[in-house]
Amino acid sequence: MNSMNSPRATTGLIGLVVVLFSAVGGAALRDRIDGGAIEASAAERGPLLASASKSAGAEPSVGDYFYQLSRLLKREYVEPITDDQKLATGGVRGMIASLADPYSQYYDKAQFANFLDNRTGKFQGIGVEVNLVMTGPVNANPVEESDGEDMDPEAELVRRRQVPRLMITRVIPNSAAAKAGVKLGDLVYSVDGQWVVNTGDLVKFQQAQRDFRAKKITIQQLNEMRNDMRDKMEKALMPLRAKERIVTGKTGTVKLTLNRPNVAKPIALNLAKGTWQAEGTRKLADGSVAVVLDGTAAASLKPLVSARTTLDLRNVGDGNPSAIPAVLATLLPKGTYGHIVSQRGNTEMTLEVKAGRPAKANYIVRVDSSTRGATAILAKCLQAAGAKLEGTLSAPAIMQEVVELPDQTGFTLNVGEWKPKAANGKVAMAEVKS
Amino acid sequence: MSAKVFLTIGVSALIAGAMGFGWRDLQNRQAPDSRAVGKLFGVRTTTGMTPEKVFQNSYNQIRERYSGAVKPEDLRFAGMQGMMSSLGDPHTLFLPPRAAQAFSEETSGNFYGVGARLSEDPLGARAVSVFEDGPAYASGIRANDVIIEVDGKKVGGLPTDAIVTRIKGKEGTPVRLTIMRTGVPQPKTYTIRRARIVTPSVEGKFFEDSKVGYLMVTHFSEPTAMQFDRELAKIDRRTPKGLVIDLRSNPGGLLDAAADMLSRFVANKVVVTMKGRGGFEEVVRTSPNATRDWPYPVVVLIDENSASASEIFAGVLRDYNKATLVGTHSYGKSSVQNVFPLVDRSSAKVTIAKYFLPNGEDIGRKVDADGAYLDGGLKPNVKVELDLNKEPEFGNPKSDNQLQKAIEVLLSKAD
Repeated sequence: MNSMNSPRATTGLIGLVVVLFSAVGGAALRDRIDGGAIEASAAERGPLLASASKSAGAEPSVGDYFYQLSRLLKREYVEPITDDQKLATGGVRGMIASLADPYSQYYDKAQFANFLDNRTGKFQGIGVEVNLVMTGPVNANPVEESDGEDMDPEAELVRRRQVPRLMITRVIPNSAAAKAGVKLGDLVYSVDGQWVVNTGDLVKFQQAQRDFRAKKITIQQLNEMRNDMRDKMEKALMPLRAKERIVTGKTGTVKLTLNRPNVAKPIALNLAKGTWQAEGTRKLADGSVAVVLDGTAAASLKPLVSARTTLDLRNVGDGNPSAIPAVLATLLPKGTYGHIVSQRGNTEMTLEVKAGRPAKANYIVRVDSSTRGATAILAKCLQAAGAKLEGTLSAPAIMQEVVELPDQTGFTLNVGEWKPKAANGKVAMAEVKS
Repeated sequence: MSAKVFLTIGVSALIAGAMGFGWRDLQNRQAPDSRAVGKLFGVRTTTGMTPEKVFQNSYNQIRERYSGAVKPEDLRFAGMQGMMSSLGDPHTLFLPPRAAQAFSEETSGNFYGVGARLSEDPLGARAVSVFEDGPAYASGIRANDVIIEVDGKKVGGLPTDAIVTRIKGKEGTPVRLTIMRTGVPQPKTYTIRRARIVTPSVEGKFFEDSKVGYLMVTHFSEPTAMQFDRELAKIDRRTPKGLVIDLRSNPGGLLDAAADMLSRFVANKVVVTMKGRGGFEEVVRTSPNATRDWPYPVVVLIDENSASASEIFAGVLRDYNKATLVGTHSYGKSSVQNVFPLVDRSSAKVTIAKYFLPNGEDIGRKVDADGAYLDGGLKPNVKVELDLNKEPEFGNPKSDNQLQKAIEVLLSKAD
């Protein structure tokens, strides 16, 4: 009785071989899908892991790199990870933060919704716009690199030369902030008793350390400052977290301590949160026209301006850059009024009016430190067209691009600054050095 | 052969093929991910905005549109860092190549110093103790000397960790330390050769005036339990009224060493329960018969730099009512990490399990999105902050007010 001769056994054997082949084939197919042509045993751990790297220089693309690391985390991390999208947006947040640029910011869902609302005049919180500004003393003693350990505010302070501060750049009329006397240019020092991280205090502490060494102050005085610093650190708020407390929420109150330029004592206020509607482009009591860069700006401007109108660009917010072309076409005749040039030397955009006002105009344009972003670009264009500026434009005229992500978070990206002349040529990305 | 047989073979082959395809996922106890299946059937996963596409798009956007110059590698590393920190766990970290190297050096012990333990000082770093068989001691540096310069560079205002990093280096290479000593008007510079340092992990003292024994445990390593027994025996000969075990600034180390030491207190009891993915659970217990008599009360000193095995040691003694905890809240490290090296010499340090104390407590440190401390760590039974105005030196009851408090607690219990 030789079973090999039985047709049933032969069929069974063939069947078994086919089935085994399919299983191996399926696994091999998966390896090809997941990791390209990497041998099976290595691919089991994913091509990102070092043991799987066969040849140097065969680095995965950024998307694959991300995919592989997220697979690793999902497999190994102590708690199950269900939200991949959160990993992705966390990554985006990290990339934006690494730019250390106050004009490039990541916003979570609520913050991003609020950011978009602000552009249509809808505000919550205390009724202000606050922005990160580089101001105040520079930490002369920075530590160049982080060791990859936890990013606590203290480490951040010591590592960076300067931490941007929060400046009030718009106060919505009739809001809680306006009624309490919050002014443009006020700097936020603390929120609900929590210190907002700023380099100035660290520089003061470093000075005290030098003073102690020079025997100008006692160890008690130094330790008093050290204790004060430690207490502050214990409950420190990073600027963006502080911002969130000020500009979001419709109920409750928030305690603010503000530093006002030329006022020695900090100003303490207790403010109610609510919802506030800012007015758009309109005629002001003195006959001048406030220009708010939003979707309706150009249409509202048309009936309000004549060749000698005074345009008020103070306390109108950063504005939406996409409103600039239509507003320029309403205000200015055919011509070129500057360019947006990146720090890398690329001309990103030319501010050009193809068919505009028939005649030349002589506007007076009111500006101050609150004239920022797209509004500052508008001021620069008007100045290039011969308008007379009243006041000082202190904020750089920076163009921000807004990117929305699928989970309704988003970020702004600094793409360049207004310049009178276009850059000479394109700089290829490959030539850009770090 | 009938059609039925072919059908059976065909269906089996299909199932086997699918199982082969999903084998990796089955091993990982996951459902096969849609990306791989989608790719197989030619679905353009790019259109559905998969997370990696979202990431890739933003990366490209920043590279191409951002005003300033960005080094692609830095941007990628920042992205990976952000992705890992989105988990809200301060110990799950992406380590870029340089940091990864430092980490492996630290953990593999190829790091050389001068043989001194340093603590914070306004002028730089204070040598809390100088190991008698180390090169710093041989050169003439003594406890309480303050290091104000390393290789000619001022170190005042730097965190102690950063100063330590500057002092450490390759074995046999020289480092110049400028020292201020109380009572000596001029700073003095010493050139010291770095050498392999065997750090004593337990230092014992006996305070004559209060008749209290003191054991400072600086970390938990293989010889720690043995050193602990030895130093304890020395103290016992003086018939103490109580014992202080000082775990301040003890970052942890080997769990086994801590468990061995706990075996002197309790027999066959749970030390910690470790819980990982997929129901994985491991319980560490004390030995069944290694206890000894404790005719006097014990206080354990902790602070925010007491982490990991230190917290387990202190927490277990607290849970079995064997000691009183004095000091400030501890760090809150209640997890185990594994380091996964990645292709480009960077690596991922990932939390793979959590510890739970015998009473079930998870002492894990809670931080906000900026990494600032919110809650967590062991809470002391008697809370007392370190008084910096006394220029404290750990282990000196004259200047160390937390130790003073510990002695006070012991004496009140001994009476």
